[in-house]
Amino acid sequence: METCNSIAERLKDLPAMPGVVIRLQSLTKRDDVGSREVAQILEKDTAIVARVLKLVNSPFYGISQGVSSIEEAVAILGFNALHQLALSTAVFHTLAPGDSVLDINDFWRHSFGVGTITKHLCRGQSKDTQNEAMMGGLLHDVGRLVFASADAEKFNAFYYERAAVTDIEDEAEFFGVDHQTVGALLAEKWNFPKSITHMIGKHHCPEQAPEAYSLLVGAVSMADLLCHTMAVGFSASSYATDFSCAAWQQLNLEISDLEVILTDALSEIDDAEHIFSSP
Amino acid sequence: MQKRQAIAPKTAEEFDKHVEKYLSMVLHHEEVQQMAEIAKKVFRKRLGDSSDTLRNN
Ligand SMILES: [Fe+2]
Ligand SMILES: [Fe+2]
Repeated sequence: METCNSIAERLKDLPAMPGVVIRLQSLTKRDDVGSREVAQILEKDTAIVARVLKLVNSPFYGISQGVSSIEEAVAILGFNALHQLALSTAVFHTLAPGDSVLDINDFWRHSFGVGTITKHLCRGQSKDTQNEAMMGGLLHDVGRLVFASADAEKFNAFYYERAAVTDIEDEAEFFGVDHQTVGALLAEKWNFPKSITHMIGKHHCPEQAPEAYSLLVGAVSMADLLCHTMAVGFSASSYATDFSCAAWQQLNLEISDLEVILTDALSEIDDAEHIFSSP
Repeated sequence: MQKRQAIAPKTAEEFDKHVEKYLSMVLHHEEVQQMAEIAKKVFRKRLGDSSDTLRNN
């Protein structure tokens, strides 16, 4: 069995957050960010630009005219939405596992599915909260990518046989740390917003989230359960996360609201299908 | 390397089985039972199956 420290040690060996994203993060502290400024930073990384533009042009964002430049994308979507897109894209790009039992397209689909459902569960909240919901949902299982990229052989040995029955206690015993904890460590190392770090770090135990973040953490936990229920994508394990009554109540929704929420979310996920084919 | 495949139910029956298996540990919550029924309804609608009569086996 591996100790928590040795996994934390390995975090040091993981790729650093791409430079463009670090520079973007520093802009989030200002209110007067111009679209030209964002474009100048992002344009240094053509792989990220290509992915971001692909996402921006997907029906998910409902922009009818084709968006061909980052500058245009910032003008239309705003800096925050674009920053979140760039961050999520960079994470998946940087941590893409090599020869692994994990199909990255299925993983993308699960992540995008949870992001979209989390956003819809937060439909009564502010636009900013909905954006955080999307981003935290997209990144909630990033710890699994950390496992896969740190030691693909070990990852494969664990998940190949045990995908249906693995819970976070099993993971902690096998890897020395579970995927939500290692994901939160990475999120801290990469300076993600606090809300996102908690969504990653507590999505299987929303009751343990600090009160200020409990709504978002509860929403992502519920969205994970719903996404697995609807069989959208795959994230290496299909063990059911527990149902949290407290998290559900905090969302202030009726169970019957789920029909519209799931229908809307699934059609958005379908619309974004082409994104998953080449992450 | 052989990949693990996503569960992809093709028919309403396959989907029902998946839902019941997946949620078996949490089905004692009344909310989850209702959620499971809604999930099945949404899946059927997406299959373009307007009649609910096909499913009760
Ligand atoms: Fe998870
Ligand atoms: Fe998940």
